[in-house]
Amino acid sequence: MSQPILNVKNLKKVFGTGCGICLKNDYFETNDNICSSCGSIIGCTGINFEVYPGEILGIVGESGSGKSTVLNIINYNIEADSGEINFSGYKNGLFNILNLSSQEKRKMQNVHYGIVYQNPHLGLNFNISSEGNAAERLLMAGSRNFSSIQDKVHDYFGKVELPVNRYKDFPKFFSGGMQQRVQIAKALVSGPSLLLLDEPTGGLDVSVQAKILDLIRSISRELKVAMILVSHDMQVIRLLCKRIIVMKHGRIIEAGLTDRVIDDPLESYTQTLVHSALQ
Amino acid sequence: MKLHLEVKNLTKIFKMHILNGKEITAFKNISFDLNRGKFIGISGKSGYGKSSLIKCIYRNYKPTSGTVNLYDENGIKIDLTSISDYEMLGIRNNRIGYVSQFLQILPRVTAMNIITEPLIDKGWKYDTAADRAVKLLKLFDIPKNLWDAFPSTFSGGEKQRINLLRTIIDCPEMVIFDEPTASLDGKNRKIIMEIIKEMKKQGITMIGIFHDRKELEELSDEIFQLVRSDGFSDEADVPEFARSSEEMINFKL
Repeated sequence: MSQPILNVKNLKKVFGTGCGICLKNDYFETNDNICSSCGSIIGCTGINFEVYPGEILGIVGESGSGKSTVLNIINYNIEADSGEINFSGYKNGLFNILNLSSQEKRKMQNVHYGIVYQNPHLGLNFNISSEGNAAERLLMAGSRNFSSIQDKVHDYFGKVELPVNRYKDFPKFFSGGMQQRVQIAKALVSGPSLLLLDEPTGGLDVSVQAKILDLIRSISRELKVAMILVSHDMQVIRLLCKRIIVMKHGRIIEAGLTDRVIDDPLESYTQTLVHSALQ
Repeated sequence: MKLHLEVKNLTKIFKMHILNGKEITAFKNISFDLNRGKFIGISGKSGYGKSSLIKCIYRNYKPTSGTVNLYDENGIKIDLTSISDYEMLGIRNNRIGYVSQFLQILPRVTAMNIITEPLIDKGWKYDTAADRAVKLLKLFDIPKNLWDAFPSTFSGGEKQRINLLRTIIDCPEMVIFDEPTASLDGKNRKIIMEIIKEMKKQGITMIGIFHDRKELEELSDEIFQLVRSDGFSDEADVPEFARSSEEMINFKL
């Protein structure tokens, strides 16, 4: 039995001023994500989960349920109000990595994590070449040798099947599916142990979506990178994930094996979600 | 250790929140023991909770109450209803196989890759895994030109054979069958039945639901029938595992 690579405990984020009630650790009891006394928005609260090496953990939920907030907290894009994250690659998971210095947080982002956003504008610089985008990440991670950087970048561009003659093109001239592939290559090039995928196939047509999903699946199998996949598409989740978390109003309402959650949803919202999916 | 699986007071009640909290009882208070290397058949009319019962054992459904204990050869038990999801995945990968009526098809993955996946996940080299797969594919009578085709394009019988093959390729100690021969023609049924008999000879413990009574009797060491107890109380329609009741038919074969 292997140890979890990422252990998230009691994560909480309140957007707004917050008050004594909603900032308390055991704040859980309401049916929406707005604090009844101060009106702050609860981004997420009471989030606990583990990610094990090599697995893909799915997070599903409706828009505004806090899926991306959780992912952004892990990637340090948003600062959490409270909680603890232990990462096995940092001091054997004994240290709360939310309390790192900004320098070390940057290192975590560039070396240990990779992230793929739904919107490629967030993950790529559209005004430098695709190669440059991926190379930038390696430079940030500490590589300095030009030819080894280029080899590595080309290696990963090959893995995501980007056409060789387009390596030097700007991502702004690419189709959505190609931009997504550049993002995935960029995320993987520094050899991260955790890949964060925020709706990686949102807005793509089905054939391109299929290619991206196959790519994610083969990466997970070949490179054994652990992943957290945020999606609201149950079919995508069913295809890729063995375990999932269901979120609503910033809280985890159900967690379990994917087939269990889909075949025997226990919570009211999960039942609505499963029965809403087009078969 | 003879005892392999011990099911105690298993109950499953579906609570349908989207139907104003309507509750549907699938089955109640079911207990039975399964010894190593034996085959237990479960029969009962459609809708009496046969599939729900075995799905609760495999954690496809979450039982409302009760325990399912899995014993290893040294008698160390694991309660399948209380272990974590990750541990359950480990049990599914290493110890218990499940063959349903339908193949959960992964799109755009070839038959060969689908079959070898469980082995490669365990660290086998592709070549050795493929060797084993080829042996089984021949045994299962799957035409060679289909090996690197997508199972989504296969016929029902071929799909079902791939399904079974994928489950048994890494020799699980226990296999759960949910009508593996339903919707198959005579020839395919026969092939599947032969394979299951061979598995039994090799000492794999099995639980099975078969629509065909003859098939069930052919395979089972013991058959349990799920019945609904008659009466006029609210519990009228609740199927029980009527082991001790008069309605229970326990075929010792």
